[in-house]
Amino acid sequence: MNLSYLDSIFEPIALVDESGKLTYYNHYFSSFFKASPRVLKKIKGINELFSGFDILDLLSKSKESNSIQVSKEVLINLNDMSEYHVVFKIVPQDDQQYLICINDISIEKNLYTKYRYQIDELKSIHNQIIQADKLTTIGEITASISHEVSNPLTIASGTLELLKALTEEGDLDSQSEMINTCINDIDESFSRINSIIKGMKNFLHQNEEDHLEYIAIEDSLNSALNLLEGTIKQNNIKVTSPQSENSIVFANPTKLEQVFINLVKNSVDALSNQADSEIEIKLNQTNVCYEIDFIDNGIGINDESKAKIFESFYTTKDVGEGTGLGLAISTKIIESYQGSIELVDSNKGAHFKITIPKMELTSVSNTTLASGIDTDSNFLSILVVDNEPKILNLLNNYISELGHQLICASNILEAQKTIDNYDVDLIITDFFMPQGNGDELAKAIRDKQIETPIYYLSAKIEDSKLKQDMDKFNISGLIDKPFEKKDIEEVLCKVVGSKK
Amino acid sequence: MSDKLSIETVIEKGVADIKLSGQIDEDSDFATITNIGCHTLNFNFDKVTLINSCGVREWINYIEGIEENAKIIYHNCPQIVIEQINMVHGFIKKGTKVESFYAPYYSEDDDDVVKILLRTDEIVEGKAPEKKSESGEELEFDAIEAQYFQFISQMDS
Repeated sequence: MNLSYLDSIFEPIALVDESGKLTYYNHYFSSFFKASPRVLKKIKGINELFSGFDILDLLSKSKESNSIQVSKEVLINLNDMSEYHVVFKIVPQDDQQYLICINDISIEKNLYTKYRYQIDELKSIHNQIIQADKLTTIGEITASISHEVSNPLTIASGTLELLKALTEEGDLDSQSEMINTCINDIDESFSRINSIIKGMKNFLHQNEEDHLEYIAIEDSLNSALNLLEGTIKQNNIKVTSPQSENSIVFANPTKLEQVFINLVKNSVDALSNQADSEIEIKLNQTNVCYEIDFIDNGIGINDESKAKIFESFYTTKDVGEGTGLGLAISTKIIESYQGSIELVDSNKGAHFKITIPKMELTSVSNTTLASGIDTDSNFLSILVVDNEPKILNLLNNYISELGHQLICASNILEAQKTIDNYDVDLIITDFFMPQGNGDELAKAIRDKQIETPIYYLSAKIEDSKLKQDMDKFNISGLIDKPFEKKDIEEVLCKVVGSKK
Repeated sequence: MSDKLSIETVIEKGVADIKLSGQIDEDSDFATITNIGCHTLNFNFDKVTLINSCGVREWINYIEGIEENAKIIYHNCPQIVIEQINMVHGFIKKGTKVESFYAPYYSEDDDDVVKILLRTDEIVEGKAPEKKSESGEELEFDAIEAQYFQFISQMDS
């Protein structure tokens, strides 16, 4: 072997005989072990240069098998007590010598540890910033929240006085209708107060992790508008919101609400002291995403601000009136769900568009089907079709706990697209759904000669209809609503059994 | 315990004496000695305890930012720094001088290695100068001369 090549290599390299005695080493070998030629001349074997790994054992394996042996990452101690993470590679040579190459990965390991620590720190700081922004928002709308709470309190107080007067008159039977009305009014007032307080508490609840669940965009929008109701009324703003139902995404409900609050509040601030103020919220969909538009007829955003508006700490408001974090945080939140927020060109007012993937897309991309990981015969990939986020979340929890994987669809059209593109082991479908019932889905599946087991999920299906569909579409059974985990487990066990 | 890099700087009449202590690594920050506008920079590496590959990168980035016509002189370079100078292109910028450095010498009587401070101009034709211990014993240069003094040719080029 031409050893001059080895002298040029930037890694510690040595040649040893069968007993581990050094017959050659390059300059970097001497540097790495901090051993001068004088020291290296004296040692009997390479194993004397460090501890923590049995290099002679690896050498003997290489000798026995006459093949290259590579160690896993090991931590060695040199004679000066310094530690290094290395990988050894032993390559047998023709002349009964062995080439030992040492890959020092100490720096990579150290950098990786630091990187992980700093990422965790950043996540923690990011959560603190989000929480601070929430507190600021609540602080800004406290006055109107107080107003909102005092209104129903006043109603309840006044109604209670009336009730007191009625009961003191003594003739309760003749006044029963009025008394019931008073009781209902008081109940509604306290419900309203409860709803406001609960909304605030939920909004302020600090999430340590980004807990994701299936949620309807409309529900998050309504919660946000509920919290801002006082502010909106105070400013005489007309708000129109979407009339659709159950546009389901996979996100953190509190964070999504925070995004909506930030956008609506910005519009409210832009519309203050303006007559005929309007905020229009629209919800549309494409094949893969929902698009939510927030459009106001306020003063708009000047060209200079347009370029900077999504930057942290940029604000057009006076000192003390805005942190400049709302849009920056909102963008980070939406981008974490593979969505986007953009400012749309507009002749009047401001127009923001949020794009967020439909839950069908998110749920497919999160599965092992997309990642290509092999799974055994006990593992099921299950398509659940239901337009109720609560049912999807419940099934998601149960099915994940049982060790299987869930893909979701909120209607039969999305379900069919999923089935066309991916193999699933089981389909659980709600029966009654707004955009098509479970039996239509079953027919479409069987028409394509797909034999995947199908279970209906329903509280209201009649026995005769079930029997008919079992015959016609080979429906495997019914899961009654309300269901428990053991009901799902039973179905999954049956499917696993027949899969084997 | 982390031996974070500390830097002490004394500037007089356009000459900066910069003393580096601790580890030169990925966390080292040279901001305090960036753009100091001196025509001569004397770097004293005597108290540098470690320099890893990330530290080398940081050092090279820093050095490349120094003005072209500034004079750069390295003093009291420990063995770990000399080894990096010999291994990594760019550690010695064109025009940089290594004034002094430590070299390992072995004492047979004590069976120990001592680090002796040498001036670069003591190295003639790539040979380590003869050194004696306090007791008069002739010490043996404990490295390969051609490899250890390689940086001198980098300085000349």
